[in-house]
Amino acid sequence: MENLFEFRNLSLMYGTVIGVNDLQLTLPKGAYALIGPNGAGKSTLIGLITGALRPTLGSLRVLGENPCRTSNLQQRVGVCPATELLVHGVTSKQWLVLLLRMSGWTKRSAVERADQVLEEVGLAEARNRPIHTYSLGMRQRCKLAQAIAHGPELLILDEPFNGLDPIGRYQMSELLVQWAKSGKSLLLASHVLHEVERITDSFMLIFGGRLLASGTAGELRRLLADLPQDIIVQSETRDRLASLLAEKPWIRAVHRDSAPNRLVLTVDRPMELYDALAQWASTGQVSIQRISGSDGDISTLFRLLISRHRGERAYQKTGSPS
Amino acid sequence: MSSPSKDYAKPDEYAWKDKAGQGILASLFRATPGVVSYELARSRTPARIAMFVLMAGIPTALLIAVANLTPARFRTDQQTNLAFCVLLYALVPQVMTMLGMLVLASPIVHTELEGQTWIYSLIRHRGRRSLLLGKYIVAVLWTTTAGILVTSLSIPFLPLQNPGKAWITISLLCVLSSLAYGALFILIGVVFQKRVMVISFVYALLSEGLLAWIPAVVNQFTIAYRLRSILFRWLDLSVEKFFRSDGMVSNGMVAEDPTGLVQIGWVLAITALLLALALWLVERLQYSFQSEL
Repeated sequence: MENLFEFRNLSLMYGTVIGVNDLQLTLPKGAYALIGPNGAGKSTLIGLITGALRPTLGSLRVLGENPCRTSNLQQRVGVCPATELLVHGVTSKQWLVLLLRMSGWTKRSAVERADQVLEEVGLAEARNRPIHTYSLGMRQRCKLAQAIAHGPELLILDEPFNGLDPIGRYQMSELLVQWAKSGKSLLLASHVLHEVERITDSFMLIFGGRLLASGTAGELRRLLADLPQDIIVQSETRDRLASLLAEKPWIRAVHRDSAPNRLVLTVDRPMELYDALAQWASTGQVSIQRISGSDGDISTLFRLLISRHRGERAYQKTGSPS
Repeated sequence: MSSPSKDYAKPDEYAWKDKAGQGILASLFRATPGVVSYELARSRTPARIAMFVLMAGIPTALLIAVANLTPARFRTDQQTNLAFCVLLYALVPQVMTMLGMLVLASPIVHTELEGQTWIYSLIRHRGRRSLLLGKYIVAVLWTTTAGILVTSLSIPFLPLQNPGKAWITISLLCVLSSLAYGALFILIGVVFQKRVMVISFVYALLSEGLLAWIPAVVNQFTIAYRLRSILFRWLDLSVEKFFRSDGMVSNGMVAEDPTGLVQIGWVLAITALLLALALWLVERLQYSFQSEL
């Protein structure tokens, strides 16, 4: 079975600036979220996947084809770019018909399909209005319409939630959930984590052109457990616990919080802390009332990975643990 | 958006059905008319119509004004006929058409990149080629129409010995000039992503304005040389009288082609070559189409 993506040492340089750095990954067909802050390299990676950009080093295959060598791949991929839709003097229907005809459709079937897809994205009533009179959310839907109009196998969306109001966001994510459920492939680039978590369980975390981590939410949470992080322990035997912890090599810092009985720990290997606490509590050496650490969501993991990537010592500078 | 329960799992009846087995030419022939009709609908704006009126109006007014200034006793002269034929040629197929194509054809890719719409043609099957070809055809239509309009409006006022023949020749030259200069400027627009208009203008000035008038082999590489040859041969104009009678300069200014048909062939061949090169390059060159890329 052909894979969705195969990246082999994929790198792209803009002169001396790294766009994408040594990506090595093979993914089967499915729905994936490409997560990263602005400038992380998401759009560059999408440019490579669509064949708009050529790798400086390495190679890639999308649905088994090299996007730089074949234009047939464009029939199988739909792209909704992040850039603002700035089309003047034409209606969404005219624009969609143009794009479908560019894909090789006859005029008749292009007109028919344009009407159908505009209905699907909720622009049926506005189909004969010029695009420049649309709201931001309507333009976003128009972009989505052109991406799905030709019936692609893989839908790529770059920041699809930009400019959408809460209802629009909900509708967009519902539509994408349905798309993913239909068995068609999806690559969703975003920096809004909680919205993409609704749509897919598979993530690629990208920063500085590098793939920091990839996998399902469960796999990433397991990865989180192995990363340095701040953990708050509430214990009536706080001083005793602090002295025990201070001897451990995986403890980076122990801080007595202003709140009574609270210790804030910076831990290199959280799993070892949990083991030790369990052992001490079972033998009666300490009493533990509460342990709270990272909330285990992808955003925490992402912050940690970025901090590590930047080489920061205190891995969890932003936000306090819950 | 409509009901999110849309069944995307259903095999898409539209996908592929229209495109199966389409080769490059077949898909281009299908896609390009779509671009042409879209661009024609889109270009009916007040700004574009004003530009068209200016393009056609200025040379027409200039030609009529010069004709009115010509004393009556010179109006039947062969020399006057020669001068007005060359003036008509210089103003319409040479300057107006060339500048029209420069303005309309050279920034095709640049405009798409700047308007952030390039990406949409980039991700379409034959999108880039059909966009380029479609916009080229629209530019040729606009410019040729303006050229033929100027010719039609001004010829009745000009002191020409054979106005009908002049109209046919100049109209044909408008078509050939639009085709050839359009292909040239499109190629420049495909190769250069910045300052396209400036580069096109400098090239036109140096090549078509300067090199074309040097009586040496080098002028045969210009479009102006071919167009000028057609003008002189078809209207039976005297090369020696127009240039210099001693033959020192007139040699090499116009091709030795009594019918002018070879020159038409040359212009069409140059057009085809430049256009093919532009269409080939536009699929292969990498363009930065958004800030992050």
